[in-house]
Amino acid sequence: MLSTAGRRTRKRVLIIEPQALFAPYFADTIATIGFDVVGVDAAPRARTLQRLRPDIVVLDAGHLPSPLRTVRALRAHLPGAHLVVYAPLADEAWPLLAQGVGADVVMGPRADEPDLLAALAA
Amino acid sequence: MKTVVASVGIRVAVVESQVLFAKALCGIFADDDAFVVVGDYRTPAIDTLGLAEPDLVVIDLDGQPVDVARTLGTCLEAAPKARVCVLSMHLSPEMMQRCLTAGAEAYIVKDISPPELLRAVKTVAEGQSYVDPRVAGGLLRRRSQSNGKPDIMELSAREAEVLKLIAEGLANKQISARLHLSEKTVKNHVSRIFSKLNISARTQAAVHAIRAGIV
Repeated sequence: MLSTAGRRTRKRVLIIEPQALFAPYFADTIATIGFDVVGVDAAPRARTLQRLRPDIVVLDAGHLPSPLRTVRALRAHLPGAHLVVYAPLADEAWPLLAQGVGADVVMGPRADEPDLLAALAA
Repeated sequence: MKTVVASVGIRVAVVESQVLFAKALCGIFADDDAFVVVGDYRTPAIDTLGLAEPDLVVIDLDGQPVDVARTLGTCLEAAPKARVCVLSMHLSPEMMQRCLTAGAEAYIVKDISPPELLRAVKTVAEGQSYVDPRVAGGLLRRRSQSNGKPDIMELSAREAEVLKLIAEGLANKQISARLHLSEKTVKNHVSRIFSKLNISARTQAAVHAIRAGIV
């Protein structure tokens, strides 16, 4: 992507990962494949979203009390952002429901690094 | 007490249902010279986990079947020399109790950093146990309130079901027919119930069930 000044700019990614154990892996992996990780947080916070204005949000919805509500709120805060959600939720309808409230890509438990790359680039 | 000697590295097998999280875990251990990752599994399959001969099994319970005793029992059956470290997102004394009762040596909550995980797992490899200090307090309080008596909450849902039928006077064969389980499986459940409740007779089990209000 080229900015108006002609410099190559990288898409800004915010990672929301409640499992701190896994957050560095996602940050490193996403940075390595060419994105600018602007923030890592354990939960979606309105102030953080407004301050960072990410192009892409990667959300681990697996341990959220209300995952669909969270996806809907993220979409409302960041209408133009690309929203990637991953979760091993048992309900087979969950991916469709999540897309219905604003997720652009929903990844399941079998998703691997190429799937993550494809999801970010989609 | 089983102690792991790290002459060529502590052999770790990772059991993690989600592929990306499994990569994260394997990477954390692979980046530390003290460890050698010898297995990466989605479920604790007996044949493959046993072949890896791990010193430690690190299993993320989130995403595994809800019967903790059965899941951890499978790990220990597959790798009887291994020490099992449980990862979980639940800051729950009840869940921790179930894991320890089922044979886990560590209960680690996943809101810690990778270096903290490595420290905890090394503690277990040295022959000690590790429990998240935030959960341990709750467990001690529960133990104190029950005056050290065994707790019915330590039973899995299936074990509670079997206990209820024991209290109703059913024999193992009748329980197996009622629950559509083999008689051997029922026997295993009964053994675990006796062990968890520290009892040796079905009548004592019935008393526990009545006191706990499950019959």
